[in-house]
Amino acid sequence: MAPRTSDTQPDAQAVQQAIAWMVRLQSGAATHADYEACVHWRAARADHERAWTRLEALGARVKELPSVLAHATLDDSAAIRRKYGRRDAMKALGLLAGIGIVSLAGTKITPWQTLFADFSTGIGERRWITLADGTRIHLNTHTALDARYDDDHRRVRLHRGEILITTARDPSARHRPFSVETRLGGIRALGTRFLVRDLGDTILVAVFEGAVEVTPDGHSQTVRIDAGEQWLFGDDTTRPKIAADPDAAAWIDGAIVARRMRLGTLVAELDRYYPGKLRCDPSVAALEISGVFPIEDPARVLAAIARTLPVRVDTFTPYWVTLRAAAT
Amino acid sequence: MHAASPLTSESIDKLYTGHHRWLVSWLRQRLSCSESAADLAQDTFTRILSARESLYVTEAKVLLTTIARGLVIDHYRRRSLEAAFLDALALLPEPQAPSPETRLMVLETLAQIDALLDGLPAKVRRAFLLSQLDGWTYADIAAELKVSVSSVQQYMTRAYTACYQAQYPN
Repeated sequence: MAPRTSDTQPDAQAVQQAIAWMVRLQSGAATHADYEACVHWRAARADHERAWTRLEALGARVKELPSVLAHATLDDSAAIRRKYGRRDAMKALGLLAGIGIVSLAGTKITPWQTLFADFSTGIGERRWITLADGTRIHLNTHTALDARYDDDHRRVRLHRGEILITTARDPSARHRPFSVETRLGGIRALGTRFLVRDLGDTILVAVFEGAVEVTPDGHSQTVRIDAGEQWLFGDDTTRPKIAADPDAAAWIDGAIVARRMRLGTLVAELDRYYPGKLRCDPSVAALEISGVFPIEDPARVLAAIARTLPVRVDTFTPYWVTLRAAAT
Repeated sequence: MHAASPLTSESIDKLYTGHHRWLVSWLRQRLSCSESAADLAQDTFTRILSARESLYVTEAKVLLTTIARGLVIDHYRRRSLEAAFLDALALLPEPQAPSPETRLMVLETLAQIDALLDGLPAKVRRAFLLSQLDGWTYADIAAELKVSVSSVQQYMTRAYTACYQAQYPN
């Protein structure tokens, strides 16, 4: 746990500048003038010195470690977890599906049989399915997909909504590729657990284990997304891959995890699970909130938010609810 | 403004008496040893207690499993770090290995640094460690990782920023 330091918190700009200085001075190419300029910068404001001291302390903790051991354990945490039982954790949490032929809605299915299947959820509904090869798919609220397995491919088509997929190894000797087709492009799984969400203008892919290759429609080039990364694609903007939000799949447990989330974003998330319309007035949309919220009962969450933030719940009808600034 | 906190101490008491045994068995199914299940159950309640002001979940089991899930992942993560540590230790020539008394401390620091570097790609982590642990210049690191010096600068900035944010989350 970090110590509480709200009174001496250096501002974000000071921290950014301190990092830039640190990076420059440690490059091995810094000049005497650089060092002097840095000393000057540190003396200019108390915030500068505070930010600098914090960074030095961080570096000092790393430097006390024996180099060989630190490299062996820290260089590539993903590889270490692959090697030493990250799968244990996934298996323990039921996130790795088993392998085998299972019955689907009471029908015994052999993996070689061509199969069309339709699955959907209504607003506020969630469910999971296990496909013939053992691949498990969680469907979030208001989602529709069909699954088509034939001799050469395992294909899932996402029509709307959000799914979390844990692929199983193909039990057939063919090692048929597994792919998800979305409205805006295809995603090919390379042995993996990943989330796909149709956001309307874009598609979000977040990879928690293994990797996927994305081919946006109209592109010939594929983009590889590795475990721990997520990517938005489908419109004209080229976006960088960013670190996957580890809480993005909290909905399978019935929760939304907010870490300093904008109230407007949280309300938009809750709205997905609410049969009516939940809105957030723009004047309070930028307020920040943290917490773990159940998605089963969005109206009650709003009431709880109104007890903590300066907002009130304006219920026009049960189907039209707005969060507004509290009357002063 | 921050009038009512959604989870009161009494409601946590109730949560504990009503669901502690259920949580321990939930954890026991997911961990190999029942001792850690009891420990993690305890940690789950400690977390809930310390974070109660930001917890609005009233469905007990949703709240408990959401937090316990994170702890189970941490637990396995810690175990894999320990396994990698022991393997590396076994390969070290005697004089270079830390003494038995300091091993636990080293492991503790490794776990802390691992948490600070969480989510960073392997190249960024390696660049940061080569610079901090071994004092390599960016030119050397660039050659080792087969990237440009300006990439190394970006890696270092990213690593420092991530460490800082992890250490000082506000």
